[in-house]
Amino acid sequence: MLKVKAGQRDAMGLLFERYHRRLFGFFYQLSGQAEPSEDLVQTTFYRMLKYANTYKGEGEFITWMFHLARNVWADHYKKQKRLPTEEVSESTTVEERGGETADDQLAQLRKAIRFLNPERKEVLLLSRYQGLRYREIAELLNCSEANVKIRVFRAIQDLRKIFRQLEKQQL
Amino acid sequence: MKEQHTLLIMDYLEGNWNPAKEAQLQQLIASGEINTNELTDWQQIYQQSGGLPTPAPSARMRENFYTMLGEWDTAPKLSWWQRFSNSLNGSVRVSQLIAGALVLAVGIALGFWLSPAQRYESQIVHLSSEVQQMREAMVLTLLEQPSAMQRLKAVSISTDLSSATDKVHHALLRTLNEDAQVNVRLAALEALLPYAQDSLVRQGLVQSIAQQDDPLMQIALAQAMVELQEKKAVEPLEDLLEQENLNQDAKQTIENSLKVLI
Repeated sequence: MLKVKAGQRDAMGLLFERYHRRLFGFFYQLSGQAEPSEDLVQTTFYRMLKYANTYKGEGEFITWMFHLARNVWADHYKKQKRLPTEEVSESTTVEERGGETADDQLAQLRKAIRFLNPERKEVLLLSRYQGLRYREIAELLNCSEANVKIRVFRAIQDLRKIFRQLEKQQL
Repeated sequence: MKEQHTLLIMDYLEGNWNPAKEAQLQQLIASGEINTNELTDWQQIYQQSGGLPTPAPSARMRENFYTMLGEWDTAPKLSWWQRFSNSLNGSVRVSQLIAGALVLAVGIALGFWLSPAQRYESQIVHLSSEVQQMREAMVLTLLEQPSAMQRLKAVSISTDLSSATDKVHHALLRTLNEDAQVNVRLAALEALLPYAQDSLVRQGLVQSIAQQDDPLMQIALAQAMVELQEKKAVEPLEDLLEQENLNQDAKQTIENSLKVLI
């Protein structure tokens, strides 16, 4: 990123190749929609170029990148004038029901994540899906590492409850 | 639940464990403060949430990014022709190719409009084939350019081809193995993946594992092999694991990939 800041635009291509899938995954898991997620990745890289001068080289690049990505996500949903929260509904479709294979469980987990409170969903995805260290997430969320751990655990607790609720609906 | 208990459970889920913590946990279970069923569920959710599947982004995303990057510094607005010419770095060979392609396109268009109606259909087929050939020629030429941006553009164009010939596959495989820039090699890998059903491409991807020394490429190839469920990749991946200076992240990804493949 320091190379980009110094005007070496080609280095931005390397950053794109290295991180576009992670950012896409982050937005996709938050929104559940592929096409808007691609646009959000593009906006994040646009902001990286625009605000390259704000990158001081202190701390990790990934923390700065996710700081921008979180702002992009917040702006996106401000424009939409709604947050992507849903109530656990009774309308589970027949296709969503089935046996207890690992794939089914993952599908059920993805579904449960959709119903998770946005803040908890974000911290869980940053930690478990993106593999960010607690220190990095703490820097992003401006809190202590212990607090991040607690938030991740609360998300897991909530997920379990949603999971069970969805299971009951399918019975 | 108390904060210290939460942190203890998180340590348990992460595997950050020792006998003292184990004793503390057993005590909490015995006293009924922690339920073993809940603990099992939390562990399952914790593990599964680390492996959520995500679809791959489309080629359009890469194309849009490089278009944006290419246009970033062009403060004075240039015409499309000026932008296009500049992007080719004044290379005579490429300019000649473009000029020739334009003349060909104009000729085909004139022929199309002047010919009788009953020949339209065959001309459209012919026109499509010409365009496809032009694009392939463009890919092969741009892949040879010294600028990494040009080579990335070539890879991007290759993803728009309705079907790529063996010549394009070979060129992309050569780029995958030999290009000096890791971002170009990564782009070539993504461009090749849709053609992985082709035995030549599949074999080329497997053989490429042994030729990559950059951790990003090793990780990307290991993940690609899992996506393709390619068992022939087991041996070269195991060989990589034996390298002493193998990057830690690459090692972990390869180990995970082998668990799936074996």
